[in-house]
Formats: sequence, C-alpha cells, structure tokens
Amino acid sequence: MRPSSSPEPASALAALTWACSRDLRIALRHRGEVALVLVFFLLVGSMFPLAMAPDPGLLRAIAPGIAWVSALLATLLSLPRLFAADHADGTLEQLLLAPAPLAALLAGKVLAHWLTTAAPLVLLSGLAGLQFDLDPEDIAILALSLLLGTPLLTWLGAISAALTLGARGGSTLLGLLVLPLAVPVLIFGAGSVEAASVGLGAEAHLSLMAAGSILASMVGPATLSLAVRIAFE
Amino acid sequence: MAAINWFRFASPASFYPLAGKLTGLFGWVAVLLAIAGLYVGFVIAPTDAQQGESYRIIFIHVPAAWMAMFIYVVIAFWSVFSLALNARLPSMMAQALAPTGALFAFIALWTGAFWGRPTWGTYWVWDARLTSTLVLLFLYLGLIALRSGIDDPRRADRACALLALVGVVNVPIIYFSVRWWNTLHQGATISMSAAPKMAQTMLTAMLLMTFSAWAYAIAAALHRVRTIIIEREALTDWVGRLVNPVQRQQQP
Amino acid sequence: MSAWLAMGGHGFFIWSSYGMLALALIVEIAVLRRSRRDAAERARAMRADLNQP
Repeated sequence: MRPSSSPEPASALAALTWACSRDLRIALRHRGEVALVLVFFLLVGSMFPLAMAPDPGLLRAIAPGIAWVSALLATLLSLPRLFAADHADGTLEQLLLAPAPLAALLAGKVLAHWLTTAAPLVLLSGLAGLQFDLDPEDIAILALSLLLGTPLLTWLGAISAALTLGARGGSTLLGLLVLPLAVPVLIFGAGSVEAASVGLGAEAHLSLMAAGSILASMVGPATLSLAVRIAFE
Repeated sequence: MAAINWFRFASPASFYPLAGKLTGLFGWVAVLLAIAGLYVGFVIAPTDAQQGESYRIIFIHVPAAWMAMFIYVVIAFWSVFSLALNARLPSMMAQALAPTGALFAFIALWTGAFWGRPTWGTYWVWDARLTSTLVLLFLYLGLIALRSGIDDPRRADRACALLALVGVVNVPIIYFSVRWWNTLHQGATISMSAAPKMAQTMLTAMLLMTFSAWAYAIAAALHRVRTIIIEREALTDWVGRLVNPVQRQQQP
Repeated sequence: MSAWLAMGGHGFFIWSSYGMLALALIVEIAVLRRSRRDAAERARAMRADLNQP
C-alpha cells in the first residue's frame, strides 16, 4: 500500500485524503471494533444509575458529567486502534519513509479516527441524554459540546498513543497520560450543558472548546509527527 | 561566563563531579534556610486570630505547592534542550527532577488536606489550587510511568521530553479551567488562596521555607542525576574508574 | 512544652503535616542513597560480565 504509484512526493492534501480514506476503508471492514467503542459508551453511562438511587432529578443533574466521562473513556479505549495495527505490520514505518508529508498522513488517520469514533458518539449522546431524562435543548447542547470538544480530545489522545507505542503498560499508561490533559475539555464540555440547563447560556464554553479544537488541529499534525518519529528511533 | 566553560560541563563525565560538589552545598543551604524559616514560623510568628495555630501548616504547604509547579516548568525547560540539541544531560536532569516534583505535589495535597480539616471542616476541598495540584501530580506520575515503560533510554528521553512540553502547555489551561469550574460551583467561600492576612513574620517564614525547598530540590535532583549518569554511562572508562577504584579510596 | 506541642488544639493536624514531610524527606533521601549504591553495584557487575576492568 504505497501512497502513490509514482515516486513524486505527494501533496499534503492528497496525502491526507489517501490516509483518511484508507483508514475509513479499514474501519469499515472492522465494523465490530468500531461498534464496540460505542456500545462501551452506553454501557459505562448505564453503570451510574445502577450504582446509585435512580432519582430523576439527581440523574438529570449529573447527566452531562457522566456522558462526558463515558465519552472520554470510550475515546481512550479506541485510541490503540489508531496506531496498533499499522505499527504491528510495519505500515507505520512505511508511512515514515513515504514521499509524502508525514504530518498530512497522520492528520488523515486522525480525521478517519474521529469520524469513526467521536462522530458516532455525538449521535449516540442523544440516547445517553434520554437515559438520563435530559431536556431536548440540553441534549442538543450535549451533542454540540461533544462535537466541538472531541477533535481536541482526539489530538491529545493520538499524541499520547504515539508516545506510548511499544511501551509497557498498555491502555492504562495511555489513560494516565490522556486523562489529566483532558481535564479542561471535560470541565467545559460538561459545564456547557449545565450552564445551558440553568439558563446561563453555553456560548462561552462552546466557543472555548471550538477554539481549543481548532488550535489542536493546527499544532496537532506537527506534534504528532514528532511523537511518531520519536517512537521509531 | 564564557560560553566555552558551560559547554565543558555538557558531558556527563565532567558534570558528574560538579554535581557532587553542588549537592552537598545546596543540601546545607536547604537545612540552614529551613531552620531559619521554622524558627521564624513557630517562635516569632504570632497566633492567627481566625485560624489559631493550624495556619502554620502553610509554611510547608505553600512552598510545596509552588515547588511542584516550578519543578514542572524546569522539567519542560530541560525538555526543550533535550529535543532541540538531542543531548543526554538535559534529559537526565529532567528525569532526575520528576520524582522530587511529584513528592512536592503529594506534600502539597497532604498538608492542604490537614490544613483544610481544622479550618473548613473537611479534609478535601475541591478548590482550584488543590485540584490543579492533584492534576499536576497525575502529570508527574505520567512522566515517571512513561519513562519506566520505554526500555530504550534515548527513546524514553525524547518521549518524556515531548510529553513534558505538551503537559506544560496544558498546565495553565488546566489551572484556569479548574478555577472557572470552582468559582461556578462554590463561589469564593472556600479558597486556599485566602490565607490569613499575612503578618510580615508569616511572609518571611514562608519565603525562607520556599527557598529552602528550592535548594533541597536542586540538591535531590543533582544527587539523583549522578545515579542516572552511573546507570547510563556504566560501560565508559571513567565510570569504571569510579566504581572500581584501583586503591580503596574515598569515593567522590 | 506540652502546651506548645498541643498547638492550641490543632496539634494533630500540624504534626501530621510536618510529620509526613519529614517521613517523605527521609524516604526520598534513603532511596536516593540506596539507588546510587545499587547503580554502582550494577555497573560493577555489568563491567565484570563484559570483562572490562
């Protein structure tokens, strides 16, 4: 699977498109793996009411936090998928040597990962919201907060996944690295729904998260390339 | 301060004896400053009108919290050099600082809890600074865990350097987001930053203890880096002479 | 003396704090010295294995 059958270096956009479509095709072939993450999201969310008295008022109050933590954990569990297979069969090394900008190739992979993990979560959050009896407006804000916050989360996760490639400790180490870095996203993500539900308006939270995701998408590719290069020294 | 002189110490072999001398020096500075600080803090500083005697915990709580923060920034500083120059010694310094930084973060949390209990009634208050310090502790543990999870030392150096840089950029963001979260949920009623209106003596004691902590951190890190150097340079000649002295002399 | 130790009723909290600090410092310094000795040991053993003096 070479990026181009001709030896000329590929443009950034071409590299990105190629990497993204390749990963999407692979994800399509392994639909089960993708679905697993989404099932996990709903499963974790369901644990909380079971672990306490399912008082409707209480559940509505903690719903944003729970939905966001569940999304965080589900994203965390899906991260190894980003690099593990390619690392194992040597494709990742090939990407490093390919005559295409590594940053663009990796950005394509991250985009594909977001499309197959976070984007479905945004849709599923509606279900989670119903489980907790959230108002439709609040559900909409929850979905929007996930939409705006998950790109940043995915970039943080991708960089951490690259750093832990081949390290001992597996997913737990990855979790230790990602979760502290994800604290701001968690605070503003869950906080946006809460703010909306008490009538304070979620614009500030949502714009901050959008800014964070945009910033992450700008510095993410270069940082991720460095992380991947480090993993192959 | 000729540039030449500093680069002479850039090799582990020449840095090792320098670090040894400095460890002792900074260790003693730390002890002296601590004695001075504790004297001012316990003997000279008065009892606080509102908090009684328990406020005296801040003489170790605040320095610990500041040092935990400061050491992380220093680690990030060394990480820049580690990545930019692809050099070993900056990475070793970063590696040497992490455990001490984590220790200070833990002390800040512990003393914060024991200060919170008599003052505000609970051992844990989710105030902005304590919560940020908790996240900072996890960041330190992540650095240490990543270091021990990667076998190749140079790879570990660079991975931890990048992680530290990603972390240091996030730390202010984490702090401000936690502060936002805190003011939304608790108002300004409970705040660890609202220390007793500081009498001059209290401030002096706190500053003395902070400098003591700083000197201690330098001493501990320099001691640790010497161990790291021995481990990683084990097969070089000079380490051979160090660990297998020809005559049984006093080791440096 | 015991009045000073009691610290106006807050003795438990103050001494738990300073006590933990003392414990932490003792542990850190002990670990520092121990790992230095162990590193020298391991270096010696490694060099002996490879027949380097």
